[in-house]
Amino acid sequence: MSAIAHVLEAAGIATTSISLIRPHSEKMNTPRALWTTFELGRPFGLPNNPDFQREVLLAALNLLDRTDGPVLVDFPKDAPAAVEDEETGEGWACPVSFEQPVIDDRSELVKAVETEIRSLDPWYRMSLDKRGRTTFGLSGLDISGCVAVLTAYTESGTLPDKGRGRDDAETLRFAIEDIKTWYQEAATAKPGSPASRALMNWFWRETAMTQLMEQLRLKTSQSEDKAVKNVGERQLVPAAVSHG
Amino acid sequence: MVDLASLPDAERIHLEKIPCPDQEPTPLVSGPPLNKRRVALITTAALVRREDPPFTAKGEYRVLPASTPSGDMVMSHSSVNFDRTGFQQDLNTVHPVDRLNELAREGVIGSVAEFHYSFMGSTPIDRVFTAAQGIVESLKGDRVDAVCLAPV
Repeated sequence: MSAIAHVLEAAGIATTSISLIRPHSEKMNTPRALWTTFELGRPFGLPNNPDFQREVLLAALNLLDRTDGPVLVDFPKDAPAAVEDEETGEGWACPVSFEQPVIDDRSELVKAVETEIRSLDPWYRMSLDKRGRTTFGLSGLDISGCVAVLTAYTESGTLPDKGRGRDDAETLRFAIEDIKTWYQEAATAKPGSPASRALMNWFWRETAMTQLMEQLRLKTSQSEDKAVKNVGERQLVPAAVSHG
Repeated sequence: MVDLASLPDAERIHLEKIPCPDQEPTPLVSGPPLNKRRVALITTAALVRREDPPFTAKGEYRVLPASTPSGDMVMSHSSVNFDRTGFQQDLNTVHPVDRLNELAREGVIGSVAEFHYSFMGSTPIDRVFTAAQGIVESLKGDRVDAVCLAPV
């Protein structure tokens, strides 16, 4: 991102940047940067906290006056703590509790995934109503189509409907992304703003879907298609989960 | 908190491994006061409009018209090592268009650009330089004199 700022500044357009990793901004001499302590993926702090987002944005914009750069200023606040559960004030719990045992039989696992999706579907629809938007849709498939991509590839190494994917690797990656999105939007439909770690732990440690994704990972590791292998190795499970 | 020392080893090592070349400082451009500036947003979250092609790592950008409804944006980033749940709950966590529009209505900034832009991090830096050159003329044509960039 600092590279873009350098190009624009050299072309005569003033820039200001949010920095999430201070050493990178130092090394890249970002023209003007506001370093924040927020987690990766949340450069303006917290969702649904407009006052805080505004404060961050304004602090970044106020650096535009400076011409004595490179400018690297520390934003003085951490992101507010997530409100775990507005109703109970207790730690976040998914609206649907799974805690799946390990399922060795593949057809039983597919059934468990289908049951899971049926249980979450009302919550996904509630999320749509509440937010008036969804970020699901990268793959061009519906949720059943995304699951079909995973099950077909896991069973046979082939793909039924490629959706918007331009090759097998993209089809797999987009289906994986959409499935995670669908689950997470459903899981965050109830009031409250769970910490991202709680959502990550729920998805990767409790759902049947994560078992299907593990089977997919094993299958992609046997592929001779380097891009497909890369999806399994690097674009499926976050490093914090696989090495955590 | 992205204070590297505070992260679990796996995440810290991952972040430290991200290639980050030394870069010479660029002289900073001066400009009018904030309440006279026309501001565009740039995100490196690989946001695309639903109908546009998802990002590859070839060094690309996408135009995000300021009028794009939040429900028309999806994230096509190839890295799985950052939180997406903030974006899923509220676009402004990543791309604060509503906050920027509010600042314009209140006269804190001069105006909001007609077009914002999206890039994808996790792209070789020489390709990012080339892709960034591609938006300079569009920004100037839009009379933009201030850009706020945000990573994920």
